[in-house]
Formats: sequence, C-alpha cells, structure tokens
Amino acid sequence: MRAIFKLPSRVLCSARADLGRKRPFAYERVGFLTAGASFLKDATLLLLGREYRPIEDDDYIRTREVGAMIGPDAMRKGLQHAYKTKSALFHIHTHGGRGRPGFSSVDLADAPNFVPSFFNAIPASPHGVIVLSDDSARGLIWISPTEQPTYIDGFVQVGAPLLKFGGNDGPL
Amino acid sequence: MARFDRQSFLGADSDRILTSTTLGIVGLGGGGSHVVQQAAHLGVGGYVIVDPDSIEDTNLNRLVGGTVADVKAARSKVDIAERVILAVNPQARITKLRSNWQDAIMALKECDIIIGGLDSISAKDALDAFCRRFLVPYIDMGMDVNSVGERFIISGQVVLSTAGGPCLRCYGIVQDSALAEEATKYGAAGGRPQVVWPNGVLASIAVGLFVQLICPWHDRPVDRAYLEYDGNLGVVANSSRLVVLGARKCPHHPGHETGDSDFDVRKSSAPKFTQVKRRSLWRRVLDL
Amino acid sequence: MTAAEQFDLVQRVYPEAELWSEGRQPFVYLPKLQFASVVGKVQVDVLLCPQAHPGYPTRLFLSQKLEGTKANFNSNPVIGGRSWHGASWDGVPASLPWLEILACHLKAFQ
Repeated sequence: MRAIFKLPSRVLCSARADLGRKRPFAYERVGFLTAGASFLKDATLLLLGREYRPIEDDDYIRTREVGAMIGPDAMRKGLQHAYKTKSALFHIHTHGGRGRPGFSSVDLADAPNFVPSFFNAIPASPHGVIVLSDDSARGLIWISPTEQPTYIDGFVQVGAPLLKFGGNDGPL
Repeated sequence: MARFDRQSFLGADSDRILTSTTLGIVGLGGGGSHVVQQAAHLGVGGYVIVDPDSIEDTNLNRLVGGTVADVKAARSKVDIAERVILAVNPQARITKLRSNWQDAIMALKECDIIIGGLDSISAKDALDAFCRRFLVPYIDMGMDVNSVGERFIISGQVVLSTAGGPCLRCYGIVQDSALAEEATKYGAAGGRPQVVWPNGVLASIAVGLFVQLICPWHDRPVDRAYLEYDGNLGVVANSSRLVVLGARKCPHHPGHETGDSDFDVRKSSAPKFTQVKRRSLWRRVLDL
Repeated sequence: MTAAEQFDLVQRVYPEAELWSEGRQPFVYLPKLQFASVVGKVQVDVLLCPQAHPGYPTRLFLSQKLEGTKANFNSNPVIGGRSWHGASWDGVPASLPWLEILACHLKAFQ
C-alpha cells in the first residue's frame, strides 16, 4: 500500500520560508503540518495538506544536544489545532540542500517517542514526520500507534508548476 | 525524428511528465471531445473520462471524433473518447466511466488535473468544490451564444481554479442567483446553442493551461486564470475580474476542508500498510 | 442559536452525529441513521443541510436512494468527499431547530 502527500504550493512555501529562518539557539526550526486524508481505489492513502503551523520561539527548549527541541506547550498547541480540525498531524523540519533528504538517526530515534501519542487526541487520522530539503521531501507515516511506520511514497506540490518529488524510485 | 521532438521545447523531461500525468475530463461533448483529442496528441498517458451520455445526431456538429456510425450505434461518448485516445496513444491508461461525475469520484480523486466541459452551473460548482477538497487543479470551460435582437454574440471563458486561489464563485462563474434559477428548471441546462469552432478555441486554451502547469515551458506558469473569449471579434483576453481579485485568498473553500470528512483510519475496510522493517544504520546513511 | 449550539442539541439525541463543513457551510452527518419509512425500517447514512441549498431552504441527503418510496431523488451532490442523494422535499425553513428540520425531511419517506 502506498501513501502520497499533496500539498498546496503556498502551504509548502510557507513551511520552507519559516523553517529556513535562523534560530537564536538551535540548529533547526520545526513546525507542524495538518492534513486531511482519503483512500484511493487501489488503497493508496492520499494525504491532503491543509495548513502549516510554525512553532513560536518561546516554545523551543534550549539544548545543545540536538538540532531543535520543542516543549510540551508546542506539542499541545499543535495537537489542539489538529484536534479542532480533525486533521492528520505531521511534525516537519528541513535539512536544506537539494535532492531527496533523509532522516537523521536522531529523527528516527525520536519520532517513535512522540508521534504515536498523537493518536491519543486524534485516533481517526494518520500522523507522522516530514523532513524537507530545498526541493524535495521525505516522510514517515503511522496509521496506528502500535504499528511500525512506513515511508511516504511521494509528494505533490499543487500549484504552478505542479511538481512531484520525493518518490521512492525517483520521480513519482 | 521521434514523435514528440517537435514539442521538445516543453522541457527535456516533458515526454516522461506527460506520460505519467493523469488528466480527468468531465463532460465529453463539444469542449471535452476537443480536449481529449489534443491531450492524446500531446502524449498525455493517463485519462479519467466521464460522461453519462451517448452521441446523438445533434452532437455531430461539434463532437470531435464522433461519426455517423456512432450515432447509428448510439455509442457512448466515453467509448468515442477512448477510441480517439487509443488511435493516437495505444499505451494510454484509460479509466472510462459512463456515469455522472458524482459516481466517478474515486477515479477522479486520482487525477493530477481535471478539465470540465459541463453545462450546468450547479455541476461546475460542485466539481470545483470537489477538486478543492482533493487538491486537484480544475480548469473549467464555458461557452454561450446569446441573442441581441436579431444578432448573435458568441462568448466563452476558461478559468483555472487551484487551491488557495480564486474559485469559480470568486470568478463569478457560479452565482447563487444562477443556481437558484437553474434549480427551478430542475437542473436542465441542455439544448443551448453550441458550435464547433468556439469550443475548439476554449478547449485549446484549457489544454494550454494544463500544459503550463505540468510542463512549465516558460518561466511564469500561472495557478489562476480567467480568460474571456469574444467569439465575434475572435479575441481572447484576461478578464478584468482576475485583476480585481488580485492575490485575495478564496473565502469559499477554506484550507482545512480537504480529504474525506468521515475519514477514519481505524475503519475495518482501511487496508493495512505492508510492514516496513526499520532499515539498518548503513542503509539509512546511504539512503537505500 | 449558533450552529455549535444547534449541533449540540442534535448530538444529545444522536451521539454519533458529526458536524461537517463544506464551503464554510455546516452539515450534520448522521451515520447509519435508523428511521421508519413506507418500506419499513431503514438504516442509511444521512446528511442534513440546515441552510439553503440551491432551490431549497434546507435539504436532507441520503447515502443511497430509497427504492419503493414516493420520494423523487433529484439531486446528487458531493459533500465531504462523498456522493449523496437528495429527495425533492421543499418548504422546510432554516429557521427551525435542526432536529425539527431533520424530522420534517424524514417525512418525505413516510
């Protein structure tokens, strides 16, 4: 089964613009992306981006150990918004550069610690994490809190132009 | 020379992009049949073609690909469109649905872009709303012949509706007054004057908008458009409405209205993912 | 009463009810609603439109047409990503409480 993530151009641009900003005391900035969902007839899970929510500077935790750490308030705000709109919730950050990015070992170790908890508030939606580069993306999606995640098979930027990227085997 | 060499200016990768694209065409009458033909010649690889009707003799003045034999056989418009596509592109992936578009939403969700040649205002409104919900850019064509005294005016428009930008309501194509009036006629919108060459002009504009979205062959592709056609003067121009709308966000389709309202990943019919084992560190490092 | 208050009253009677939004307009989704009709007890998904829908002050949509009733299904909108069927049953004003609007529309099948 596949998962495809479609994002309106302005949502993706808004995410890239915010995530690319310098942080005063962290290497990386993070944010949240909400999405609707649907199944296609071949059982592909279609995720449909709704909104990018930046995390306010005050909601970061000062640490030298990782690129960025957000506090419980940031998680709560993200979950609250997703709950209100019955959305799938994706933690998102960027590694910059070009080409399809990969998750760092810290990303992969960390995500299973918090993404499953999203289901406590919004059990009906899938949730996950996304990492961007300047022209591509990679994503991991959970469809339940207890199952292993799977990689998102590709992304579509819906706008002018309409762009497909981040596919497992090259372009979608 | 290879088949698509003459359109190589669309981009080095344009052949592959066109082949991998799925175009939805809703309404296969005067406008839609032109779109089908052009898309086939362009090399578009995937199609979802939707129309509930069969060809009649009165369609022959404008339905591209339709023949006298088709009329005699009461052939469906989707069958005619399929034939037109396969004659040029035998490898095309075609999902044909002889139905109203409302019964074809599972297939239409898979489209990269949808072009509509629907007569009814309510159908245009509903299809536009559907496309917003599933983030499918929608290109709508419309043509009218109006009488002024004993003279006639041919007019038409093609609009591009993309998430975040103006929708058909923003453009004024759909208005509540027109919907209410149409409802009193039980939605009947057929029987209006139609003729082949304005349909061809509008279809060509629609296909041009489609191509610039997926193969941006110039450096200013647009995600919104309202092109008005004056059939008497033979002029196509940007509508002043587009200028007035500017960069205004669409107030009719908020960004949070995407996906199925009743989506529930826990539903028993929801298929499970194939389990993916966590890759070893070296595979992750090499991104394999 | 606000839409949220109206929906709250509906949900007290139908706990499974959901409030949907389409084009910023509220719709009430009632999954597997059971009601009496001329063909007996039926169970279908129902979508209540408690405001104007082209040609009608309010509207009720079903997930499938009901055969055997005199209802004239003349509408087939797509709302919330699903296809629905609307019976022609006019004259139910939007000023009524939502539960009453629902009850009035269900009379079309009785």
